Amino acid sequence: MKNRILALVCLFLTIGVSSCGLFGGGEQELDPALLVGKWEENGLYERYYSNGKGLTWDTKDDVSEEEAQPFTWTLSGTTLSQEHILFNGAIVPKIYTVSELSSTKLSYHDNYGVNHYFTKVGSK
Amino acid sequence: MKKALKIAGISLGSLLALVIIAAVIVSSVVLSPKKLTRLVKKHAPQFVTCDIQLEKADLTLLKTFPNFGVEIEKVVLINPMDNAPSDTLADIGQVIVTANLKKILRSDEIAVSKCVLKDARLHLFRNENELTNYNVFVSDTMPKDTVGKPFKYSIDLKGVQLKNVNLFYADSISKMTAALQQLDLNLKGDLKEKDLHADLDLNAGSLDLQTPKLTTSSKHLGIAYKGDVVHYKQINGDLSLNTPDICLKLGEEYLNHDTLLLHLPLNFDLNDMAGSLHQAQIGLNNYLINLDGNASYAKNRDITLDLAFATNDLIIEDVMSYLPEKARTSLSSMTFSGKARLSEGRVKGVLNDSLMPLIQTKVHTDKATVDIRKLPYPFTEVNLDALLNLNLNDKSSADISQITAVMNKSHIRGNGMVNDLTKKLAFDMNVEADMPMSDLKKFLPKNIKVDGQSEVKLKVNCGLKELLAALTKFKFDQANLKGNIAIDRFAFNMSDTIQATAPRLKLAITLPASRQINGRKGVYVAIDTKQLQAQVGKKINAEMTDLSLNTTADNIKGGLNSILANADLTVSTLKADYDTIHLDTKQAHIVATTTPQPTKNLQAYVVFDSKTLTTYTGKAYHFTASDFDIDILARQDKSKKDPLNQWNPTADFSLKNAEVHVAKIDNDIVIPTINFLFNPKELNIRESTVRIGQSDLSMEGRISGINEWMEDHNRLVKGDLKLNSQFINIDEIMKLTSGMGHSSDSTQADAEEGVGKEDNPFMVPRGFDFSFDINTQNAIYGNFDLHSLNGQLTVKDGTLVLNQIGFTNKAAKMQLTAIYQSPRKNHLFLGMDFHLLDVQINDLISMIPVIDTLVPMLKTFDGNGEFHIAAQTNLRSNYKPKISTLRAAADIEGHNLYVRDTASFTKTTNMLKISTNGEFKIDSIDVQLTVFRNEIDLYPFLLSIGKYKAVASGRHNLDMNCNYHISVTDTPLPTRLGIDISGNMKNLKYSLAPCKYKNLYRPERRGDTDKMVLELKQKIADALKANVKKGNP
Repeated sequence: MKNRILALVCLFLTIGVSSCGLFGGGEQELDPALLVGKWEENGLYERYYSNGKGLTWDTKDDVSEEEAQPFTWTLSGTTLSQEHILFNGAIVPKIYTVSELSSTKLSYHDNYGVNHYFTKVGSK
Repeated sequence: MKKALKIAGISLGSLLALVIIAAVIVSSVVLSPKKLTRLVKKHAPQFVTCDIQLEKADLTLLKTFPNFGVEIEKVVLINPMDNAPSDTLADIGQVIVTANLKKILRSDEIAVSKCVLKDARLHLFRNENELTNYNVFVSDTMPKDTVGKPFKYSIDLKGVQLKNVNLFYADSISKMTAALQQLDLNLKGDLKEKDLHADLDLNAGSLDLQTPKLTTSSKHLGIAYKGDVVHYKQINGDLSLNTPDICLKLGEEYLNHDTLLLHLPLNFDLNDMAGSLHQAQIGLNNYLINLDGNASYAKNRDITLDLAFATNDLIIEDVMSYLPEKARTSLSSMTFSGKARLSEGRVKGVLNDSLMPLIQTKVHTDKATVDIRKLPYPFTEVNLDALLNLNLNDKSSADISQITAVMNKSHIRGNGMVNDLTKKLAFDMNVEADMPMSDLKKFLPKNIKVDGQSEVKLKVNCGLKELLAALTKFKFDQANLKGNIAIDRFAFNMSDTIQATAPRLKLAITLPASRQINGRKGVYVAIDTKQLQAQVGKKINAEMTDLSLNTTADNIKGGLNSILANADLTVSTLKADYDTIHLDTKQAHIVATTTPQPTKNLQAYVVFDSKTLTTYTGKAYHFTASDFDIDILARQDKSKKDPLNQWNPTADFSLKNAEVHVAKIDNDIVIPTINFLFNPKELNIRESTVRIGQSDLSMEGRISGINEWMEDHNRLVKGDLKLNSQFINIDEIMKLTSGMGHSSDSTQADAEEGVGKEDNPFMVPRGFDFSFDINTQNAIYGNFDLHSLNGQLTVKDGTLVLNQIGFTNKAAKMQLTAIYQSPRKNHLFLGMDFHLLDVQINDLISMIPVIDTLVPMLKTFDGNGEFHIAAQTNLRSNYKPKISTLRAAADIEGHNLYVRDTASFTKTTNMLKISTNGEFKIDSIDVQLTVFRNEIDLYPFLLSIGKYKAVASGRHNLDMNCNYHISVTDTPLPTRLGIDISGNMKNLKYSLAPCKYKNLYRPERRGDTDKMVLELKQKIADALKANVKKGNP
């Protein structure tokens, strides 16, 4: 019984370690290459380049891709970090946890429960 | 002459005496011809010193009855002399002499009644020693031995005849040769002692006379003389001469196969070699010269003349051919035709090898023509009344009392002097003309046309050559002329580029210009007109009133490109239009100087000043100035096609009390003073004060690239300016400058992109790259009061940047770096890097309401803090943010803050068991937050309240829903509580929750996530503060 309890504790610990964290992330490794391309969610677009740069624009706001705003990104485990750099060098970091990443689907959320569901509309 | 006559008389007398002796002998003793011949030969040496030969002598009693005569055939006188052309002095075919036998017998007087020489050939010669070969007769001696007593003799020359006599004369001293051939002479007269009454009729086949300086020849010469020769010294009678063919060359050719008639009633004293003519006439071809006066011949060969003369009508072309070559040469540039008459003429003075007498005569022409080759039109209908003073020794002149002429359509009148007539033709004349300006066409360069009717008054004081050089070659410096020209209906056109018209225009001309203004070259022209209209190119039209222009110009021949000109123009009013720009100025004064360059481009220097100046473009722009000065130096570049673009001006502008009205802006721009230098490379504002609405600006600096922008609007005009001000209303300035360089026809494009009709966002000027170094004491922007504003503002082709602008207001010392772009009206961009140090939080929120939206919790505090924010977003045309593009990061630090929302504070502290001791105060906060779209995230930050410390974090959205958490991390209590605050800001819900951040500010216990959070906070804060300028704010 003692051994069972110990194993259960270890299991919880393992699960806890792998799933806990203030800014999300986990032990699951996602392929960043899948992220590269153009994604769309109701007029909101994100484009990820393989060099770690990206663009975002929202056509509902009368913004075209040519007028898109840049960011840099990293994908570590399931943690998607975006760093939006302002004109003067100031930064606005955003940390998301990727729930799904496939060749056609991308979904992520932040710690405040805001979810985004993107569909891939372009591979480049 | 006297000596020659004496010798001739002696010779003739001696010859006659020889014949008479023979006759006397015959009359005494009737002899056969043979004996008579022998006797004559025997006694001949008593009368002739040279060898004489005769063939036969015979009596002619019957042929000459009642007189008797002697006929001698073949008389030859031989008198050889060195250098003489011939040894034979005379070779006479026949000599017949008849005498009155009664007188011989009764009164010992030989009265010869007839003497005839036939077929004679005479060779007269004088050598260098003045010895002659014809001085062979024994003078004043008669054959005393033969007749026993001397004879008195007289020759009744009623029958002296020469037939077919050829006379040749050579003079070694004067180098003269003469030949008189086929001479027939009838002389009727008496020769008594030394008195000769003669009625001479002489005809010669030819006469040739040659001296080193004179050559004359004539054919069919006829000479008649009727009169007396008293004592061989006084000739009184009428001499006539005619020849149909005479040539005369005296250095130059005077007569050339002309017809000459002379009728000379003369009295001549051979002793004094002086005589007079009375009503003498000289006919030359068809012309007749009447002569009266005196002439004398001195031993030094001077001929002194004092003769009055007059002519009938002369054909001028012929007269010109008789003029001395020097005179003809000087007049070779012109040809004359028509008739002239000389009257009241006088020839006075000495004629010798080196001197010519003075000739003075009145000249009258009637409808003559003078064609000066260098002038485009001849002078016709020339009516001249002048007094001609012909002095071939020095300078001749003509005193013209009046001359009228027609040149093409111009009528010319004049009077005055023409000096140096045979050389320079120097005019000192007053000339008036009624002249159509079109007559000037051929005097002007081909590209210049003039029209109008002019009244010309000129005073000419220069030579013809200089005058022609001025008129035809525009060489003015040698000419001397002053004139006034009044032109009605004046019109000027140069290359269809510069055109001018005036109802009446007055010109004053001075040549050379130096006579009017010292040091100036070329021509001086003063123009006065009440009204002048001008057109330059197709775009510039100008109208001037009360125009007064004083100008000097040189190098006109090459046109505008090489002209050297100085002009001083004053006008009462000047109105000009350039394209759509209108200019109106009063009391304008323009001084211009042009200087040709080696590159054949022109350089012009223009000074323009005006008391009032107004320009406007329709109703869009209106500019006035009360005092306006421009100094312009312009260099021409003919490689440019547009005449206006050919000039690269450097202009020094200075104006005062100017106002600019722009229809699109509410406030006029007032310019109390501005001074700037403009050149093709840059505009250098050296000093300026400008008021725009409420703003006053003092600006200096450089603006460059204007020329490049003129050629290519895609290039940028660059500026580097310092702008000082006491007060600026930024709203007004933005309204003034908004949209500059943008397409004005954007209504349709605006509608297509959803721009509201009422929206009029600030559009950053395009085509400019301007940098302003701003220093202003006070400014307002909306409700924003600013003080001590300084920093850099740049405007670059649609992008406006405020770079580290420092300023203060009642809330804080501030530093702002901002970027504003307006690529299109419905997609503006605003970026701010804003630093407020020592800010009153309450004032900050009232000053920048958006801060309350971004950090709503701030309004619960009051006190001083430090605020750094960087934000950017795109804006719609109504300045509403496009939330999807909103990004911001902020750092807020505060100490000793007072809590204003005491209710919420009390509720929160109570729930967290934080004792405040009744004070609503927070010791310190240090907040970093970010804004991404509508999400505002507060990174965990530390709150200090007395002994308590808490960490707060959370998010709220722009819709004012929030989700915060506060953890108590330091408390005297054993438990550390947390609280979640959520819901709408107006209706928050509080609930206890586990403490989230108990180790965040405990380094020894801090986990990786805590470290990452702090690192992000630090990164945000560092990036924000990195741009704070030292010492500013």
